[in-house]
Amino acid sequence: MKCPRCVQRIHRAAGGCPHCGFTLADADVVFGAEDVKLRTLTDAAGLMRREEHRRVESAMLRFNRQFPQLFVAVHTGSFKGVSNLRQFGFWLLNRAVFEDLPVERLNEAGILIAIDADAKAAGMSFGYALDPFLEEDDTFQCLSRAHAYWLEGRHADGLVKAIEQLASILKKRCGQARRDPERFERKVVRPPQVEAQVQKIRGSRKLAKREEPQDREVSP
Amino acid sequence: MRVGFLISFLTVSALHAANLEPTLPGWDDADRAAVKAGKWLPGRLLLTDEVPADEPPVEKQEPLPGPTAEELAIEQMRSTQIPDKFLGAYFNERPTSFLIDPQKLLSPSQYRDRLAFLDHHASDSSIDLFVYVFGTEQEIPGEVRAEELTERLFSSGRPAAVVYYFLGAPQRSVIYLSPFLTDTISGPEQKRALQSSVVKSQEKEEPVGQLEAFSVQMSIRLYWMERMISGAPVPESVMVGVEELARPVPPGMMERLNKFLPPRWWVPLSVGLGAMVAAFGLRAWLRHKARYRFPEFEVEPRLGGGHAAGIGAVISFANAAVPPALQREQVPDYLRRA
Repeated sequence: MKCPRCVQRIHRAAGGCPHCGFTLADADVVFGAEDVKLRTLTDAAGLMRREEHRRVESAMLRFNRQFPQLFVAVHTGSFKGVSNLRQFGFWLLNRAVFEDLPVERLNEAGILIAIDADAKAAGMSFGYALDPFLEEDDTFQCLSRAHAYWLEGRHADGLVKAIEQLASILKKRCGQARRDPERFERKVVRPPQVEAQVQKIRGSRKLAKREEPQDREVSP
Repeated sequence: MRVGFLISFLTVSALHAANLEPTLPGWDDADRAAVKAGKWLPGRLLLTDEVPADEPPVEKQEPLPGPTAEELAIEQMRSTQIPDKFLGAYFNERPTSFLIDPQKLLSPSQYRDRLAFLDHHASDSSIDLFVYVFGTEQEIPGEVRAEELTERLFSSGRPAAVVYYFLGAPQRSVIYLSPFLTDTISGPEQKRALQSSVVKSQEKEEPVGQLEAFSVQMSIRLYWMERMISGAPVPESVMVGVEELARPVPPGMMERLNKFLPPRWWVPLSVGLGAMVAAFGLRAWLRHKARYRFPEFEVEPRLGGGHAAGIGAVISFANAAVPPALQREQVPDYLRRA
């Protein structure tokens, strides 16, 4: 788990980045604090033709059919800087209301591929439901798969390949999770709090001290 | 009594055998002494080329003189030439028989059979078939102009087809038609008829059998010529060139398949292939139908995000010189510096 601004590791359930203090509120300042309505495939930068649009949409539908809990969204636009691409992905998945998605598919189960047309960069963000199953390296593999196509300006082909790669990785993870769910659960369950443990230990000691004088009274 | 008979039989047999066997050679005293002294080796004559003194010297025979080059050329010419005495019988006048064989190249019975067929043909067809029989390598003399001769001899009377047939070499055969027919039967058609007959004759190995097949096929072709003259429809197969007929038909797909894979393997292979296709189909269908569901865990929100805080990789495709491998390390503003 990393901070979208400083890309430093952060611990589970961190309210803000311990390194740079980043929170969603900071992203809201840049991109807006209101929820935004949009479709799962939004080509704001106009990188794809209609036919390409259809191709990407069908790849997304295929993915959504295979993974009934999840969905893929694609957004192209101009985000004025690479560092903003991560923050934008983080912000959009929290603020977006996808019109063409069924209500039961929450943003927690979303995977967003954002393409910055000006900076020629692409990033991937995902919701909490995928936290245990998807790692940064997996998303890197997906984007690497698309890299050659994007270099040639074949954005739709790259997106289709990235989505296919994502599906392939997730199928594998799904199998692993079915066999050994604890392994994935351990990644997200909050570690027992140190303070609570200390209190528990102290509590048991106090109890023992109270019981000691009674014992003495009994003994002659 | 039986023992006595057996003894007397054995004795008589031994005596009889002793009388039949030649006596063994004996040693002379002088020879024995020479062998012992090492002066004479028994069987030495067999090991050397020396001629025994008591045998008469063998006269060397001079090789017989072979034929000279001139004689060979004459012989060759003779074998290809039609003897002069037969030329008149071949070419002087219109033949009275349909089979012309003054050289008696066919045996009387063979001649009779072939002639009977040609007679039968003549009785059945309006075009007579005359077959001139020549030797395998014989050449028609240069002074004989066959076309003119046919024109001259066959201009009157019933229309006729004249075939010069070379026994054992049907491919050398030549056909000439009487003037009445040449006007209506085209040259290519004549050629087709001849080639068809040659092809039929070559199906046989024996020269007389070839002649028989040739004349039968020629008779058939003459029948179709007759139909052509009368304006009756002729099937296309008859009009097809012999080159096309004779061209070896490329082996069909089934023959090639038979050669490649014997029929006894067809059923097991088909079953195996069918099973494989079915397995692949089933697998593809199952994969298509497969739905992947993840176990749901409770994740505490981070950074104030209500739905998501999973930050994945960012990759730049601005520069082909910076491949994904160089972008694996995700650092702040990494791409901007790249």
